[in-house]
Amino acid sequence: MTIVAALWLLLAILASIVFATGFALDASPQIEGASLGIACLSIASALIVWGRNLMPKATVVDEQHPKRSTEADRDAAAGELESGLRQITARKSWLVKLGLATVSILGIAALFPIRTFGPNPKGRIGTSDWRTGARLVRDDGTVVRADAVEIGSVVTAFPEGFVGADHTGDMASDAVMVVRVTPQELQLPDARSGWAPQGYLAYSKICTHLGCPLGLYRQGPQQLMCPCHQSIFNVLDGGSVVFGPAARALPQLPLEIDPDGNLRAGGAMSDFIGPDNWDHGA
Amino acid sequence: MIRGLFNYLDDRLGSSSFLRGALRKAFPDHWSFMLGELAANCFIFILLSGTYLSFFFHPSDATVVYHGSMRSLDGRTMTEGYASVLQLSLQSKVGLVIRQAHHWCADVFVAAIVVHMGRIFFTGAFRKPREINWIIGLTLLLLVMGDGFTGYSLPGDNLSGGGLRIAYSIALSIPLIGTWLASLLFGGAFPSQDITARLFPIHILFLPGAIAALIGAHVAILWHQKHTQFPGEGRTERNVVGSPLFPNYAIKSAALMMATFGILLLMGGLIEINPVWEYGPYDPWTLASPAQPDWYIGWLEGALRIAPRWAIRFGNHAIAAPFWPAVAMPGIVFGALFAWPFIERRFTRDDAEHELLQFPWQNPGRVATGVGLATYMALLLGAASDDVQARIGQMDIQTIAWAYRIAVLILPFVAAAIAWFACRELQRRHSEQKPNRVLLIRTPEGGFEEKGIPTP
Repeated sequence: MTIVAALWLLLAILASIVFATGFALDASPQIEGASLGIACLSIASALIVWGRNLMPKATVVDEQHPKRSTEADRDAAAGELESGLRQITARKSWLVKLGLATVSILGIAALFPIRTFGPNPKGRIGTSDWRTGARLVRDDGTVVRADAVEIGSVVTAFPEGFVGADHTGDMASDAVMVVRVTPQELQLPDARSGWAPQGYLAYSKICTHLGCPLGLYRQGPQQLMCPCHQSIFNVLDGGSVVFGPAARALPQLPLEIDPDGNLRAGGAMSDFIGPDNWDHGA
Repeated sequence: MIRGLFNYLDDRLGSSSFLRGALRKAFPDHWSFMLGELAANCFIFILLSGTYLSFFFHPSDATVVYHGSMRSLDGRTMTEGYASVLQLSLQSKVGLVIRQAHHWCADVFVAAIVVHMGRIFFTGAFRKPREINWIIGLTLLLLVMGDGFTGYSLPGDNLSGGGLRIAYSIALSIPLIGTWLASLLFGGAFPSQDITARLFPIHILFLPGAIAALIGAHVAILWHQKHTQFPGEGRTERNVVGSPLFPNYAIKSAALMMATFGILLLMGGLIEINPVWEYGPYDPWTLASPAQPDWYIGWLEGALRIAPRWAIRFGNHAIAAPFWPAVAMPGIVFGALFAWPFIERRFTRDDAEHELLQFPWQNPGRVATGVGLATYMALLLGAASDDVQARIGQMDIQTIAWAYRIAVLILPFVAAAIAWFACRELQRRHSEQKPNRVLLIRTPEGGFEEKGIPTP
């Protein structure tokens, strides 16, 4: 068994040399990881052989006691604390109250800097930069022309002037998905009858469940699906929830087609964008 | 030389009277007693590998244009943090091995804690006098999960950004304080430019520090209270039987540590995990699919997928639907786990100290509860990949989601009932076996003497 342990240790030496050589020669991560791993495992094997076969077995018995101290110790410890507290509070109970109040007030005052961790969220959540007449552009700024969106295809669009590296935050809430369906299929509510000229529709890309960007357009049933938790929204009837955990329809962006054939926002978003929260109930 | 060192220390610390007992301290030999040690080894490995990674990672959301060895991302705008992860993964020697081993280690770490906790639970090791260590252990589980999630969120790749957005939206869903809480945590509306800089100290300093401190308390209490042990010959409520810490247990312990490190390094080199260069940088209007978190966050992901739409709206306010599966449900599950020693004691009215463990079948009610909860969590974890299952099984996502919704309400109770009856059956068999267990002792005269063995 001594030989076995020795062989394991030799393997560990070999693996270490392979690692060092591999490192120097820019070997692949597979060789680096495998050689390091085999070195450690070989040492572990040597130790197991050593412990099992090369050392005498031993069994020891420790005594186990109840954890509690003697009655005298219990009394004395609690007594020390009580008498100490009595010494602090013996005189002037109003001074004790003042002391506690001071600590509380300092504690509350010390919490004030937390306010600087972030701005007041009021009016910053669920808003977008869509205004009537804004042209729809792609993330690289190119204008979305109506004839670029074929039936069955989908384009992610933003309001013109709000794309690029300086607008990442805006793009995170402004993104809409533009799809085109045959106008006869539409089942929009009457109030939205003019929102989908020639069957062009735009919905917020931000899921109303937890804010993931909707990635999947299911062309057959005309649905948008969220890749995070599989909420499914109906494209034809104004973005209603078909299935899944989302509790609110997708906000819809009314569209217009200008004389040059470009898509433009026909108004503001129909609802606040993204997940429900305490400040957005109705 | 050893004597010289020991005497030097003893002159100053009086350490020899402690070491005399400590080196011979009894460690029970059952394999399940090494699960906690496996977790501790993971902590050591994750600190070492994480320190290595922190030398190369730049915790910054400032944008840069990438020109590195990943050709498909050439010219893309990304965060400095993500660019540094690409650099350390693809161009730094051993960087990828260490990064993948670090990630694997997080997954193994949580698994080791959960299995260790299962052993403690099903054998009743949490009973008096060990309730405090049960609470510390559960707190450790939460901290390690939190540290895992912050680590997953740091690289700034597409999936980590997507995970953060979900975390932000879950914070938003909390009644009354949610919108403020989300703004204060993230430094404004998502996506803020501060988040990586904030996550970094939490991931590498605050949470690991808290974990280290609590592991210290956990082990100190264990040391003071001594180990529990399974019943057996010569084992009583008044002793601990096992190998001496030195040399027998120490060599076993060192072997386990080297084996843990070895397997994690092998995994780091050979099994790909979280290939961030494939996901691309996080642009908040895109998300890769299928998107899945690490396994220990999976039960929350599954709960979010199959939960009912309980959005409560009144006036200008709303309690968002995700509040129930993502905040309330985990709160109840962990609340029940924290309270379990006290709940059980209310039923058993058992105030005795327990140094001997129970075999799981000895307490059918506890086993039924544990098996029911484990089934519930496993089903939620299964639901977290319902989209992948739908694609593989060529089924409709709705069908699978409904199957999970129904299963999660029924199967935990079925599993609990089966576990309960199995325990009762095992109890019956053990009580029948009792008279059969005898020890035959051959006397010097050649005759035999019968002696009963206490049945565990």
